[in-house]
Amino acid sequence: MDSVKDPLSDLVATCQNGDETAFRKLVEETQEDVYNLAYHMLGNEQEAEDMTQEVYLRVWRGLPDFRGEAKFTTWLYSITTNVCLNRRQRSGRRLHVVDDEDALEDSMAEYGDPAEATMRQEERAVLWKTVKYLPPKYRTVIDLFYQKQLSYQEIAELLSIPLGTVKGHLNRARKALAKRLRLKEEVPSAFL
Amino acid sequence: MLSCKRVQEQLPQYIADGERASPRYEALHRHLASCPACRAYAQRLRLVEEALHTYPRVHPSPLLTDRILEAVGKERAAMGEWHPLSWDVWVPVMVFVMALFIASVSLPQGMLARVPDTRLTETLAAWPHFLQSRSALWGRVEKELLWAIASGIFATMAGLGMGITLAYWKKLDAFDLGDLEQWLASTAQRLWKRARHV
Repeated sequence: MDSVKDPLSDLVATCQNGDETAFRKLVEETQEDVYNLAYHMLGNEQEAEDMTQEVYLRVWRGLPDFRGEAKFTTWLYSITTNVCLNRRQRSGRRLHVVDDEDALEDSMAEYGDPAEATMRQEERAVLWKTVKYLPPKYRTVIDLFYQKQLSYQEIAELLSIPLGTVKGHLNRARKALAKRLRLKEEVPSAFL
Repeated sequence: MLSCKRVQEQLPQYIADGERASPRYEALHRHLASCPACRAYAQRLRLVEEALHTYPRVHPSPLLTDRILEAVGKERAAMGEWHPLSWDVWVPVMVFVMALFIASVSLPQGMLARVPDTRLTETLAAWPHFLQSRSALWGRVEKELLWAIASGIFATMAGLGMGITLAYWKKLDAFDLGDLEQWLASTAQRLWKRARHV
């Protein structure tokens, strides 16, 4: 099997030689991905920024030992998920989190949609808002699958969970979102 | 014929995989052709899929890059400076030294003066006979000396135990006074409940 060259490998190699400008470039190119993943795992902007900073401190400490056996972004996301999971365990609280689908519907009842929007845009906006209220484990796989475009296998390896669990989380998230759409169709938006 | 429940179980994955024609999904296609409720559900799932593919990214503060680089710069600068031993080294060492001190001051008077005399030499010399005659050894070893050895072992174990615990905490990046406080409070509460139950 042909291996595709990591697009960041040259930049990473320059960083490993102690080039500060290259490190800045590496941060600039990747921080939004890290921040998005942290945000989806923690559900809070300030915590996501704090954890993004912590991730890059660890990247900087670990760069001399990074051998490039995996893609740099895979390593980066693995540090991000570890840092955020630790953060969640430490804080002992769950931010913007809804544990089950019924509670998800309850919490979404406050959201109406702009009357001027078209139906389809309106539905999409409702779904985007709903994603924020999914449990963090679902938001995490959604981010990795849809935004980072990782495969099921890559996500399973990154999160150290079985491949079936990755698919299960994604399918449960899709079902929860579809259920939310059904609720919207059945109940006039004035009541939502 | 598949049931609606079974079809709705399969639909999220089928739609996420791009609704590819496959013999595996033949029964599902037949069901969809004849079931308006499942067709409506499939339509909702398509909207979900579209929404997830276009899910907007969140943007960090424009100052984040500088903040990160400042933190890294501080750490880089700190690497060249002199640092005292970290607390997960000196705390166990202090515990060990203090335990030895407490053990030595609480020894019976004159014990330390007697230890270096011939009795200790004789005791050590008795080691080869230990396997043959344990009673001979116990007869020679003074009670106080045993106590001092036990204190030393205890102090070493306490120091090691504390060192390992604190190092593990640090490794988990979970050491925080707030956490410690919370842990102590919950442990005390648990013990109190248990005591009341007993």
